[in-house]
Amino acid sequence: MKKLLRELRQNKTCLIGVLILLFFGLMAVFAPVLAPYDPEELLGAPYLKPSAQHLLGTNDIGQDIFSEVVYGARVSLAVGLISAAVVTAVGSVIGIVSGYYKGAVDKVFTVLTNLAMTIPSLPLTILLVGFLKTGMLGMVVAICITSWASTARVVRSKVLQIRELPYIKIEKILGAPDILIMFKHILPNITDIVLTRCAMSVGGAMMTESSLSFLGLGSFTRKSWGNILHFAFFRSSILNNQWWWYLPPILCISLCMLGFMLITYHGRTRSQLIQS
Amino acid sequence: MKKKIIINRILISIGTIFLIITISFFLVNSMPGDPLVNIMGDEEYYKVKNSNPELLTQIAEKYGLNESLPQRYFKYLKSILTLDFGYSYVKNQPVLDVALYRLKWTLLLAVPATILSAFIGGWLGIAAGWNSSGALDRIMTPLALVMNTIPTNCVAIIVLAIFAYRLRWFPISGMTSGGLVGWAKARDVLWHMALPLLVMVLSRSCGNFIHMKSYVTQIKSEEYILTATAKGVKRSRILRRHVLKNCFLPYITVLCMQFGHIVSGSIMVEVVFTWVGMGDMMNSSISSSDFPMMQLCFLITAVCMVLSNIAADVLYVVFDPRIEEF
Repeated sequence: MKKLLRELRQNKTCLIGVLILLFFGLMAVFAPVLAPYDPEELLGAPYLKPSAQHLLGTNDIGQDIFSEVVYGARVSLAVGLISAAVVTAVGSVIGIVSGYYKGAVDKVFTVLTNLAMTIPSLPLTILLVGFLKTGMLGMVVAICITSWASTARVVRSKVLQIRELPYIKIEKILGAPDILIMFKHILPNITDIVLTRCAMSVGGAMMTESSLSFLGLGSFTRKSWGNILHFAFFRSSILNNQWWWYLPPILCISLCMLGFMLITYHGRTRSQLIQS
Repeated sequence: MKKKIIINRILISIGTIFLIITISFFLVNSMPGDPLVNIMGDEEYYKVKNSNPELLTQIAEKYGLNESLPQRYFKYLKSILTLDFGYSYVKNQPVLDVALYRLKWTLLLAVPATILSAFIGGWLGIAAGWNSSGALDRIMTPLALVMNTIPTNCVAIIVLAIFAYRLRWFPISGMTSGGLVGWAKARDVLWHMALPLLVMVLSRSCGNFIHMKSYVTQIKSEEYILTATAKGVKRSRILRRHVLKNCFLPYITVLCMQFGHIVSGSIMVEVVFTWVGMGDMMNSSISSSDFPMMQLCFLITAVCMVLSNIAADVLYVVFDPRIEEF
């Protein structure tokens, strides 16, 4: 922990990234305290301008936009974190297994990975979300299906190097079970790559989520930032000059992305192996 | 040797396309609910059911819905080989006709955007990488990195709000004002194109800039550059003969991949600017649950990707003499 803090103090870009994400994390956790209203509550007058009562006015059906944005952090971050956790887990396991066993297993997984990387991910995600039609869960599943491949590829290439190291060879000769070698002795050596990839996946998943919600494919019961932007844009807030409606979600998404970029930028310069 | 690599790549690509067709078939056919409803879309299904029930049996026959899954699969493969991608009951037109019309508009926007950003991003990237930590590098690098993190739809909305709403320099949406012919129409389309083009060029140039800059800085630190400098070769000659020659190979790959994203990458811009192209069609076909249309959109984007992958591989093999050794 101390080491981490020292490193952060030395690395300004990473520190800024951490602070940005901390801000949004706290916003998500303390949403009920920060938001003056329930985001679902219909408060009466629609299209109100910003005032002391409604910091960012109200939307087309009279919900408080500020509360919506605060609660939106929960949905956006939840989708990002859950999908990233699954994507990283699946990608790492596939990467480790195919890098460790090589041979036929590796061939099969490599073909799968290449295929997954050729299929354009946004259209496939749109298609899947259209098929699954289950709101947030469907979105998480679709994101997972389409974005595990690059993690698997990066992890595999690193494992291919590690498996040739003497201590792994010795372990094999001693007859240690493969599972033990893979997850107890190889995995700890690639944690920085896995964590960096994980941060990138969170950013990527949030980006996909906001794009899909913007297109109107998200869940409508729980609004994310992309969803707020969807309603702001398609209820012509630009033509009505309601900048307090379309600007806050844009700022939140972009700042959040920036936070993840700054962190991964640091991680990437540390381990040159990781390619975007 | 080179021929063998190229043939190998082409075979893999054919396999990939075949797999993609299979995936899209099974996606549609494993969906819950009546497949007939899925093919026609909810609204159209009930409309036809009330007005013309015989048509329903005809459609079911055409798609072989009464047959087993493998039989249907082969029927689907056969129809794709004859370029019959089905009929959009929502739009009341064969899907291929709609798609080709839409593709034309997408390409009108995406091809100039890709070419322009290839030159702008590449040129700036070379300049910034060659004089690293110069003024251009110090301004452009953070700017490009930040631009890269902002989602395209957000950039598009901000551009729309500033240039179309505030300044009123450009139209808010659409592709033409209508009722114009010849030269006047071309000018009008260009005027409508300006903002979406700007957004696409902006976001892609930033990506290209980052790639090109990293290639140039990488190659600059190679030992043969040091040797050339030590021999007293002029800086401009080093740049032209040694650095650029080696940068263009990976850069070509990046550009090819961009051409692969030509359709899927323009969804957001098209939706924001109501540019009636492929991306917009993909979006609207989902909301109207027009599945034959969706399938074709997916297929076209996937084929674009596969083709650009082949193009990248082939160009690499053709231009890089070192590949002979492998």
